[in-house]
Amino acid sequence: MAVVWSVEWDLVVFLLIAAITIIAALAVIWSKEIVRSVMWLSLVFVGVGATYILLGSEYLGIIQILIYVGAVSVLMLFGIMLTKRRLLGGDRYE
Amino acid sequence: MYLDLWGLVGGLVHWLMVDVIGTILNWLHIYALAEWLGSPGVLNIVTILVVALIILIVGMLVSITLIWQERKMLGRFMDRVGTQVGPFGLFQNFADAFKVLVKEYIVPNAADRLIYPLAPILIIGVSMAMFVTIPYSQGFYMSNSSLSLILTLALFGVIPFAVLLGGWASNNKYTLIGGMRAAAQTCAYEVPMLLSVASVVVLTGSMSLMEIVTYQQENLWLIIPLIIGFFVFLISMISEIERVPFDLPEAEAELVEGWGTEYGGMRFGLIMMSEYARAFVGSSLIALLFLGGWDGLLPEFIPAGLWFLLKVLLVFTIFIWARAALPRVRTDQILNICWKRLLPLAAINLFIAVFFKSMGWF
Amino acid sequence: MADKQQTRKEKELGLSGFILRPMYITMKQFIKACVNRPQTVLYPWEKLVLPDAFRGRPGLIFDKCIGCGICMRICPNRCIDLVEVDDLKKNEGEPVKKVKRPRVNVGRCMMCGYCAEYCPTDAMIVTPDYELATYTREEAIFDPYKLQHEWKPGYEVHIEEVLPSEVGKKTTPSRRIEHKDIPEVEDKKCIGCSRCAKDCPVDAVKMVEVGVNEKGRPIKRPVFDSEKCVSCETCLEVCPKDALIMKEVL
Repeated sequence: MAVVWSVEWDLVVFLLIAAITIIAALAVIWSKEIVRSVMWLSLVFVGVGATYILLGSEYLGIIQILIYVGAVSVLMLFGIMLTKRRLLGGDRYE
Repeated sequence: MYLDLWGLVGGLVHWLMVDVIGTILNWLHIYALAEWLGSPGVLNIVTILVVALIILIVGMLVSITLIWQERKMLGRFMDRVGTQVGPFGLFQNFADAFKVLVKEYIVPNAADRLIYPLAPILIIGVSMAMFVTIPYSQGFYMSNSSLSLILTLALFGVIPFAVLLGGWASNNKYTLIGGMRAAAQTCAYEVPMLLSVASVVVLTGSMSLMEIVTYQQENLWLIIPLIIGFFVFLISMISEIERVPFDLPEAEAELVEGWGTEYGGMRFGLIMMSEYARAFVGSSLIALLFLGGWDGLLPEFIPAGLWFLLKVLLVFTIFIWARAALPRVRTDQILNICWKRLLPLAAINLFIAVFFKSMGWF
Repeated sequence: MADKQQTRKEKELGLSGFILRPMYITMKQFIKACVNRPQTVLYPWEKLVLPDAFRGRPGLIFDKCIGCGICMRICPNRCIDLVEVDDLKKNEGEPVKKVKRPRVNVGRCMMCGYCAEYCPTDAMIVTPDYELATYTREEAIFDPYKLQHEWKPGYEVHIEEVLPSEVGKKTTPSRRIEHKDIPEVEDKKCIGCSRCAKDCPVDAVKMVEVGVNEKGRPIKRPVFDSEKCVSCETCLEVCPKDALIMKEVL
């Protein structure tokens, strides 16, 4: 007796991407090191871009990666690295 | 004359999966597995994987050829012979790869345990992902997306992020300065690069690299109307792939090895490999956008892919020539060149493209 | 003048000076290196042609050497010493003679060639041999037998000099052996032991009786044969009472 498996692959892929995005978004909040937060945030952006591509708007997804991962994350990293660590509650001389 | 990669690989996979393995499985009375292997979905996935593997291997081989070409030509520029391992020094890269493979993997004590191993993976992954969009000829390509040009540039945009992360995670002042410089420089030079690409898109009306090349085959090579854009794109691309004279991120005299100082062993090898992979993608982009791609003389006798590779090598020769001739740009001048010189030129070039398009000349 | 300099500087520092000229020069160099051979010599397989005056490791012509030790004394790096070895010349029926010959540590040698320049009999020569890498330090010490090298006309080097008085005249620089330092004996210190006569490599010292002492024994004093003497200072070294000094020719 053959069991007919009807898997909606779109749904599976979407759930996978959504899970990665949500876990990364939680990691943004929970990570102690702020640079790691930015890294997780970029993963969130990539996940959102992948979701756009999955929904059929490839252009928006690619632009999402180009702008957010390529520019906004770098801007955040610059902002973090040009800020005095003391303001973030870290070691004074670090 | 060109090689139809998808047709060839698809036929081969079909022959292998259905005619050979399917027959054997039928003979063994395992009908369900044979039917599953012969279903179009499985055949499609296997074909895609094989094509991806072929594209990856071809891209790596071309990148290795570029390293070899740089070593030999830089040697001649300096009145030297160049590498001597193997015939014409062809085996030097493999010797180097073997050498870095057997080295110990060291993580610095103060490095970030999560990001430090992740950054080279990100860099090499993104660099290899760029191979996907590069078509070698009408038939030899991985993806024929309508957005392949913008996808390549988006992947170029991810590089500074990974570089900055790697430079920060090494926890070394040289790597941090190198990463900051790399990020600032590559982020800034993306602007004139995208503007000059915009002029190409305006003229051809497409973001697909295949269609851009088809347009150039039908009309004329875009270097003729967009000569300013060609130079802007060339200079921005040299800066984007961090080569001399814009090699501030790894200025050996100032910062030891730039943002890759702390990386050793195969990770260093992968970083170097990714640089040349990006150099290949960059020079092939120039060849595709401005030099007519695989358009060449005698299309019946000389394969189209060969024309494309010849143009890539020619563009890379310009890179090597610039490396041999020019001194490194000073730190305070590099952004001046970008914002004060290249950006107006790119804007002028965009106006020219819009003018040509609106006059209906092209 | 100032204007000229400024215009030249501006000309050199423009777009052409920084970008076009270097690119033109390097491309010219590239084409030259592609058409001709590059400068590089693939060393183990092909070697450079050595110049005539090339000074490699010192070599020894065993039979010419008299074992005087001038090379040992002149060596700036102190890499030469004298060792006693069996003579190569063998006479029938006689036991093999022990002779003194130089031994060179070429690991420390700086190839200055002074030993060959000062050698009184031209036994030391300068060879064009420069591949001296060895696996151990002991191998780099060349004993007299290993130090031998075949003789060729250009291998001898001399100090050729012209006296200040002869500068104006047409004299070719030559080796001046007639003006040489000769040891002199201080009469008070000498005890007449005749060790200088025994150790002189060229037999230039003769002991001459100059008188009789209180006990009736002869008093011997050395006399130096200025033609035979090679100014090697062996006698000064062996003298137990430091009675000999070199009389310098000024």
